[in-house]
Formats: sequence, C-alpha cells, structure tokens
Amino acid sequence: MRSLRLCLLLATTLLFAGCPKYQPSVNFDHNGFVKRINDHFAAKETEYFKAVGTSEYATAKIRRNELIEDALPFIDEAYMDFITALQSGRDRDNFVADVIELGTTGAVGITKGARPLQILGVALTAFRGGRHSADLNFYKEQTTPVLINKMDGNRAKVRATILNREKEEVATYSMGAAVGDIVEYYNAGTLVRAFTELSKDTAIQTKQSEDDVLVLKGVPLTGEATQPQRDLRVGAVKILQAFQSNLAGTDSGKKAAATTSLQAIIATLGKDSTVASVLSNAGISPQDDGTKILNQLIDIRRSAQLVNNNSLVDKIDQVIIAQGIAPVATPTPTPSPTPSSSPVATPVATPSPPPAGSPSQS
Amino acid sequence: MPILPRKYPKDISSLQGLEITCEGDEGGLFAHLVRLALGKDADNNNADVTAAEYDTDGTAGVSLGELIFEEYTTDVDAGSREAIHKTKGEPLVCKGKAFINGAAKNVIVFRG
Repeated sequence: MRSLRLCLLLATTLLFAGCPKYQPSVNFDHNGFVKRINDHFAAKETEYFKAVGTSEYATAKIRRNELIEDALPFIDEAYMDFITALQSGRDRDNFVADVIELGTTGAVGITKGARPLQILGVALTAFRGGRHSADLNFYKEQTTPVLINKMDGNRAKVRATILNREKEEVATYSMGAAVGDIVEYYNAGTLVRAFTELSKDTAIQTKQSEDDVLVLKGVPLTGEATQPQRDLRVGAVKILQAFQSNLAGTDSGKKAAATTSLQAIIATLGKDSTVASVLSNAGISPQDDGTKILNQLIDIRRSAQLVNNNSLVDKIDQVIIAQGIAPVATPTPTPSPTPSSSPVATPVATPSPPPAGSPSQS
Repeated sequence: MPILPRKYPKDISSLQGLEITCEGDEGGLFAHLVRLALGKDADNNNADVTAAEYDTDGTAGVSLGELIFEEYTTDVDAGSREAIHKTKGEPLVCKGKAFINGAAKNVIVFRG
C-alpha cells in the first residue's frame, strides 16, 4: 500500500512538474499559421514565382502585395473576435470578483465582535490572494484596456512597416519576407507579445497625472534612510512621547521622573560643544522645567531633521535613548510591536546601545 | 495645522526603503505623515520627486514611526486592503503616489 502511494505521488509530481523546454523545435510539416497562409494563397504564390521566373518583377510585386492585403483582413477579423472575447470575459470575471470583495469589505464595516472580523479579514485576504495570483499569472497584473492598447500599438507598428515595404521591389522584399511580416502582424496581436512589450515600456509606469503633482521649492532633498537611522529616530521619539504623556498627566511622580530625565539629557548634551551651542541659542539649561526642555528639544530635533542635519539629530537621539525612560502605554487602539510598554515611567539602567556609527547623509 | 513638506528622490530603492525613510522622518520631525504625492523639485529643473507632508499637530497617542506601506492597483484593491487592515486595528494614514525605483506607484499607508 505504501509503495502504491509512493508511486502515485511520484507519478503525480512528474505529471505536473513536466520537463521545461529550452529551445523551440522546428517542424516544416507542422500545420501552423505559416503553412495555412501558404496553403490558402498557394495560387497567388505560384503566380508570384512564375512572374519572378520570367523576370516580370512588376507583376510579381503586384501578386506579392495582393497576397499581403488579402491575408491581413483575416488576421484583423480574428483579432477583433479575440479582443472582444477577452474584454467581455474578463469584465464578467472582474465584476463577480469585485462584488465579492466589496461585499466582504462592507461586511467588515458593519460586523461586530473580534472573531467574525478576524474570519472576514482572513477570508478576504485569501480571496484577494487567489485573485491576485490569477491576475499575475494570466494577465501579468495588467488591465484589459492596457493590454488591448498595447496589442493595437504593436499591430499598428507592424502594419506601418508592411505598408512601407510594399513599395519595395521583389529583389529587396521577397514573398518569404512578406509572409514573415504577416506572421509578425498576427503575433503583434497576441497577449504574449503585449506582455513582453509592456515590460520594456517602463515609460507607461512613470506616466503621472498632472493634477496630483506638488511643486516643492526651498525644501532640501532627503535621501533614503537606513534601518539603524530609522530605529534611532523612532526609538527617541517614543521616549519623547512618553515624556510628553507623563508631563501632561496628573501623576506627580511621573512628572518629576520625566523632568529629571529631561534635565539629565540636557546636561549630557551640554558636554558636546556643538550641541551645547545649539542648546544655548535655544535658551535651554539643565535647570529648566520638564515641559520647556521637552518642547525645545522637539523643536531643535525637528529643525535639524528638516535640513537633513543628521549628525546633530543622531547625537541628540543617542543621548535621549541612553538617558531616557521606557515608553509608557499610549492610548492607541492597537499594541505597538516596538518597545515593551510599562504603565510607570521607570529609568532604564542599560538601554540598548544606539546603532554604531549612525549614518549621516548631510 | 502646521504642515512640514519633505521631498524624496525618484530613485528610492524600494517601497520598504520609502517606508523606512518616512518612519525616520516621523521620528525626527515629531509629526505624523498625512500626504504622499508625486512632486516636482522647483530647485532642480522641476525634476521628479516624491513629496510628503507631515502634520506636527495631533501626535498624542499616535504610534509615530510605525507605518505599513503597500502598493495598490485599483480603488477596489485599496478598499479591500483598508478593510483587511481595519480588522487588524491598523488605521489608514493616507493614499497617494510615490516614485519607487524611478516608476510612479500607487501607495496606501497604514499605521501599525
């Protein structure tokens, strides 16, 4: 029984995995598009080659162009049928999927209770995952109008080439080349060609709507932050928020602890000559009350951040984290994944060290 | 409502890179992100940039620096993302556009 299961598993794996193909196989007897063109226009091709054989090149050119112009309407008709089916079929599928998504989204808004909400959330996530996978694998996440526009564009380019080449003589534009162009015209109207052309066309993605563009003047360009830099800023701001919460509260013990910590921060920062001059200009001293120190500290950090003076903000943040307190619980609706909350502001004996050599981009 | 504008380069490496940068700015500015849009740098020949705006008011109780950036395709997609995050208690911050690796993307931001 076990062997049977193993065989079944292996057979299933082989059946679904298959073998990848690394090169196309050429078969001159294949009843494909080219053969069908040649069969359908065999009479015209015979006339063409007869004319070439008797050096009647003008006649050969006419026969060649007649063949092209006869073939293209068949391809145009097939293409129209194809895009109509594509558009209507996908519209219907998307409509049904949208109704399900919108219905579930609406249900989230009116459902009460954590468990039903959780179930709806998981169900919606799973449904969207399936839908996304289908869009990704079948349509490469492109909307139908974009795909059709791309195919139309591809076909127009090939058509222009054909029209241009029809003026050429048979010596430079042979029947073989003409059949090749007809095949190319057909391929230009396929989804596979649309996907490959779209992937080349990055410009379409950078197209922007003019009405939503902000013009910024006098604002310095801020480079991409690093993870340690982000952690330093966020770690410091959580401590400052905790100070703010404690100073605004009614617990005198917490207020006093926050003030003491802020005064210690200013005293430590004052030992750095660069920061000391900034503190002096702002009129802060270690003897000031907690609220004044906090507000001035926030202003100094903000001003430095705005001009990308990262070295100054790094110094301040490192001292805040080293001298600060553990963040207290904030009245946000969700638990924060960052530092553990404590209802009482307590001094941190050994805070996690600030990132070594915090980056500076200024 | 004091709003602080910021601008980020067009070639920011990834959506996560932009997320980290905005989180760092929320921390450094002591302000919360309110807008994300495509922008033009008037100081540099109107070059493409990502523009962001931060509000210094109303930060009390806001988990500054805890953002979730996601790319969305359609309004339906954005709506269902909003619903999914709502079930997790992650409120919507803003919906806008940003340049990621040189290409304009639709971005929706939640607070984690």
